[in-house]
Amino acid sequence: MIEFSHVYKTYPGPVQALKNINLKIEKGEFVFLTGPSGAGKTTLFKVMSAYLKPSSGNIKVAGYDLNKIKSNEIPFFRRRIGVVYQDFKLLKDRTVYENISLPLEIRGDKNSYIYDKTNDMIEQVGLTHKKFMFPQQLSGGEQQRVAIARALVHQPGVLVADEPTGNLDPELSEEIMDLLDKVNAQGTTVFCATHDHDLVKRRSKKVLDINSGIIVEKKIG
Amino acid sequence: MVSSYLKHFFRTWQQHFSMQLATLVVLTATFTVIGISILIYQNLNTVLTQWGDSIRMSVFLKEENPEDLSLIEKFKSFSGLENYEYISKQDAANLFKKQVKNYVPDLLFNDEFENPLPASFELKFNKNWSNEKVTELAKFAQELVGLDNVEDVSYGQGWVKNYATVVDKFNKSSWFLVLILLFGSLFVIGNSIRSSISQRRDEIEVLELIGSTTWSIRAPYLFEGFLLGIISSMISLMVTYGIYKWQLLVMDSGLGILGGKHSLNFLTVDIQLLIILVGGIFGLIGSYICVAKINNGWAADQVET
Ligand SMILES: Nc1ncnc2c1ncn2[C@@H]1O[C@H](COP(=O)(O)OP(=O)(O)OP(=O)(O)O)[C@@H](O)[C@H]1O
Ligand SMILES: [Mg+2]
Repeated sequence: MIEFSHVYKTYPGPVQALKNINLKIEKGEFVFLTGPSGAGKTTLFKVMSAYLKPSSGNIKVAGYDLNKIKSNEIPFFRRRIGVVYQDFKLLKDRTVYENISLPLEIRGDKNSYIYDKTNDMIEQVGLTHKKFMFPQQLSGGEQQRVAIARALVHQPGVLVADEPTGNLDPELSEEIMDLLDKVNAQGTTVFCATHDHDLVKRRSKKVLDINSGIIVEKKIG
Repeated sequence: MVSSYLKHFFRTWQQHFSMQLATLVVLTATFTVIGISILIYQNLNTVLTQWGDSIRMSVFLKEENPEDLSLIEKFKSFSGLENYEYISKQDAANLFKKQVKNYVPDLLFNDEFENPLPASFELKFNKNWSNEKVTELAKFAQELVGLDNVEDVSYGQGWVKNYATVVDKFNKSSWFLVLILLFGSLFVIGNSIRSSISQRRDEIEVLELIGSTTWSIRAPYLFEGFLLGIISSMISLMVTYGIYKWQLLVMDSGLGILGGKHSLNFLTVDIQLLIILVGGIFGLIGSYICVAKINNGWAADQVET
C-alpha cells in the first residue's frame, strides 16, 4: 500500500516540484503515473523510496511511515521495495550478474539461492548472453533491463519504476510490461511512470496524471 | 566476506595506484622510524647490562663500625644489591700498601705510617641493569650520603649520570617523536581512505538505495585501512631488519661505536607483533575517522549537504 497526504517537495531555487499530493494505491494494484517532462514524476518516486525527504506531508509505503522512520530502519525499508531509477544507478565496476544479485547479497541469502534466482531474473529480461559484461558495454535499453531485474530479484512487495521502458523499442517495451504484469499478478504493487501514452492505452490500468507538481487527473486508461 | 573486502582493496589499488603507493611508502617510513627508535632503546639496555658488571659502590665511613645497622638496613632496602663487604681502616691500609709496594717498598715496613684511609662498605650489585635501575642507583647513593656516619659515596657517578641523562633524553624525545608519527600516520591513512570514498560516492549511494546497512558499507573501507596499516608495518620491520644487519656489518668491521661483538639484538618477537598490531589499529582508526561520515538514511539529501 502507498499513501500520500498533503505532500510537498520544494527544491532549493526554490522549485516547487510537488504540491499537495494526495493519493492512495492499494496493495496489489497496478498504477501508471503519466505527465510531461518536468512534471514531478521522478521527484514523487524519490520521496516515496526514502531517497529524498519531503518538505512536508505524510507518506506511507509498505507498512513504513516515512515521517517517523529511523535512519537505521531505512535500509530495511528499502529491501521491502524495488525501485527502477530513471538513471538506472548501476554499479559501473560490477557485471550484469553482480549488479542483479546485489539485493540478495545484501540481504544475506544463501549462495545457491542467489545463483538460481539471479540467473532466472537475467533470463526473464533477456540478458543471459551478456551476464558477465559491465554496464558500459551495454546499450541504454540493456542497462535499463538490468535495472529492472535488480529491482525485482528480491521479490519486493512494492515496485516503483521510473520510465522503465524509456529506452526500449516497442516490442521490448511490451515484453517488459508483460513482466511487470506478471509480478503484479503475483501480488506486487506496481507504480510505474511513463511517457508512452500508447502503451498506457493498450493496458487498462488506473492512471494518475501529474502536471507541474499537481495530480490533475485520475482515470482508468 | 573477506574475499569481497580483498577485491575492494585491490580495486582501490587499481584505481589510484600512485596515491596508494605514496601512502604505503609514507606509512612504511613512519613505522620504520618507530621500529628503529625501539631498536635503539632496547639495545641501550643491553649495553647497560654489559657495562653494569663493573658497577661497584664504595661507601666511606666517618667512624669505623662494621655493624652499623642503620646503614646495613639501608643497603638491604636496595633491591639490586648482591652483597656487601666491610673494609676496616686496617684492611684498607693493607690493601693500599699492597697496591703501592712496587713504587714505595718501604711503606710496608713503616709502622709509623699513619693511616689516612677511611673504613668503608663495598657493595656489589647483580647484573640486571635497566635504565630505571641506574636512576634508582643514583638516588640510592644520594640518600646514603645524607646518612650520619657516611663521609662519601663513590660509584662512577660520572658515567652513570651521563648515561642516565642520555637514556632519559632519548626516551622522552623518542616517545614524542613516535607519538607525532603515529598521529601523522592517522592522517595519511585517513587521506587515502577519504579519496577512495570520494571516488566511490556513486557506488555508496547505490548500495544505500538498495538497502545496505551503514556498517556493511563502511566495512570494506575499514578493512582497507587495517590492511594498509598491517602491510606497511610489516614492510617497515623488514626495512628495520635490513638496517640492523647493515649496522652489524659496520660493527664487525671495527667501525661500530658500541664495542662488543654482536651485542646488538633485533626487536623481540613481542615487539614485532606489537608494531604490526599498532599498524593495523591505527589503520583502522584512521579510516574510521573518514568512514564515520557515511551515514545511512536519506542518501541523496545527505550528498547535497
Ligand atoms: N535536484 C534538483 N534541484 C532543483 N530542482 C530540481 C531537482 N530535481 C528536479 N528539479 C526540478 O523539479 C521539477 C520536477 O522534476 P522531476 O525530475 O521530478 O520531473 P519528471 O516528471 O521526472 O521529468 P522527466 O519526465 O523529464 O523525467 C523540474 O522542474 C526540475 O527542474
Ligand atoms: Mg523523471
